[in-house]
Amino acid sequence: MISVRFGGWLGLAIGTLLAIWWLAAVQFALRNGFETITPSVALLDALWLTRLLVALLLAPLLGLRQPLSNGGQTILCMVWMSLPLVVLGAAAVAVPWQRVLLAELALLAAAGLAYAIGWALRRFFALTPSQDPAGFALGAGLAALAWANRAALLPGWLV
Amino acid sequence: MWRSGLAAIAVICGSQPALAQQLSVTAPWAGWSRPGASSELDIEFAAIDEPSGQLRIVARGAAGNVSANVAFSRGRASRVRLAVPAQGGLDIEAIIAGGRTLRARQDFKSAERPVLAWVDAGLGATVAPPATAGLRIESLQPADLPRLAASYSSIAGLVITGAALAELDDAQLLALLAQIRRCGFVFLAARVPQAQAVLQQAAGCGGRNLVLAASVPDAAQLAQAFAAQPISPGPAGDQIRALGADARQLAVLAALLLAYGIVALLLLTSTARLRWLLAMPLLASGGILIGLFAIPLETSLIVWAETGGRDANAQYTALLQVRSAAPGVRSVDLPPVLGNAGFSLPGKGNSLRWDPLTERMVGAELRTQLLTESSLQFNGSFPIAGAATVTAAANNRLILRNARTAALPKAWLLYRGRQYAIANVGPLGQVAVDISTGQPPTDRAQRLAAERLAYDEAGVLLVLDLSGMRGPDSPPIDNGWLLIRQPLTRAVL
Repeated sequence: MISVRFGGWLGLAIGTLLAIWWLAAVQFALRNGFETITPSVALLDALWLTRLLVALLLAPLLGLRQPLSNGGQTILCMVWMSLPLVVLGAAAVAVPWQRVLLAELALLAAAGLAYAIGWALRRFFALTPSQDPAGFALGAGLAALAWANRAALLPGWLV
Repeated sequence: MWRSGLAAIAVICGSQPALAQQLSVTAPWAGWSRPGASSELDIEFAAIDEPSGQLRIVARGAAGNVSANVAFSRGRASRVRLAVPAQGGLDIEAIIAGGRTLRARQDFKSAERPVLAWVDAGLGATVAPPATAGLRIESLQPADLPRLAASYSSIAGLVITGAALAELDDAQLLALLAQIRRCGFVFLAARVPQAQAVLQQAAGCGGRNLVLAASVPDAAQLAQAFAAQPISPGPAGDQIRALGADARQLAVLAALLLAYGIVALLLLTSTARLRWLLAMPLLASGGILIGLFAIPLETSLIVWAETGGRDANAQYTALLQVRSAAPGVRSVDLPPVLGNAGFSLPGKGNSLRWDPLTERMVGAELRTQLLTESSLQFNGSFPIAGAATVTAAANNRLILRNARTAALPKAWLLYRGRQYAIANVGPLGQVAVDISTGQPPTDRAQRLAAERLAYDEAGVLLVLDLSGMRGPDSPPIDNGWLLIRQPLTRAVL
């Protein structure tokens, strides 16, 4: 079973990698007189998109395998663990907090929808956890769809 | 009823032109400017029928705002000069204490080629400016010349006849002198020995950008003189920015994120309770923001000056930086010496404070937010009496002579990418260094100095003591350097 803790590790790993990249990019921008807003906008985009893709990839699988509450908690934990980085990125770009909140809610809603699809497959089409590849393929399809339409999906951070 | 309504509309409509007429605005150079330059506005108020008091003038533009408070007397016309960023258009508002607002607009013209101002005397104008490829020559009157030195940044150069020079008022002459001191291109076509002597004495950069001629130039002569300007521009703002200390915000931010990572790691290894796992990022976000906002406002001023070995003036670029993680608008006082220097555009949303009595910039209101640095750049000159000279000597040696009557401050000799630390050169003393003993530059200032020097140029880098430049409330001057550049042509090297 994929645990809540796994979601936390995943979220922390995503946040750590992007935080390292962001700090390096900001340091480079400050040293060379570039705008620091550019890497900060890129951080918000990358955080949002990475978490969306990972959530879409995993959610149908979790829906197939796990009880409703446990799977939801795993995804919530993965998304939530990067919150400090989201807050910092938003402060560096001066994004209104309502917009950040809306973007995070949209992310959770998309993950919830993907999770519900997996859950519905198990509930109504009697797919079982032994059919994991089907759930994974569904998740990969959703993630690929999101990636292909990323320009339209990404929230606009700059006011 | 409807008649009274119409009458009210007529009164409102009728009052608008009257309001506009009460405020007239003119700009020097007939409104010509170039991107990134500053200019000035001559604002004239007709008699204001309000109780005497203060009015606030705000010039708003895409490149930033300038504001000033001006006293006025009831029923008396008044006039004020305002230094402004000259890019695109400016909306000028004069807000009277009662809430009444007078409005005007000034649009600046921008040319696709460098603008040379050709100034001849009003009615006595005799010689038409020649057409010169690569330059746009604008024929102007003496009255079009600015009264603030900073406004000279709007044009590439000035050609002025003797008759026009005689028509300039004191403020215009002082501004022209300041421009000549700052190495601006000025072609004086006049047979006025006294004026020529004064200008030559004031000229910066060894007078290489001041052309004195007995007659007005023809196209070829003018183009040749303009193209022969030997002065390399000062270092860019980014190069000077690199001389300052790194922002403390980033180090604190990295430390706080690292602390969060460690706490999250420990928590994930010790518990799987959702409540804890959700509470921790929330608390950490608040803690990180509080930690960052607690960093006090950081302000710094960095000065980089350059001069030739025998020049009477040094040209400086000063960078004022303001950093704060907390979002908001911060007010900073400017050191008095920078008040009448040429200034860079403050940027959209930022504004400069102008004192119309002393005709200086006295402060700035700059927006701050996390990891964003607000900065203002100033350019000007200060007098210097040949601080040090470098000459080449036999046996691969360089001789540094201290021409001052005081000991040299901390200094480095730079030549062909190598630095030589100079210790204690007494008044009028000298020291010889062996070229083979040079070391690579060790700090950012030495590196910048080495980059600024041409291949056959030697330089002396001095640390400036600028503590006296600081105003009572202005930020401390962190770092100041003076680079004395000197070409070496001896074959021995």
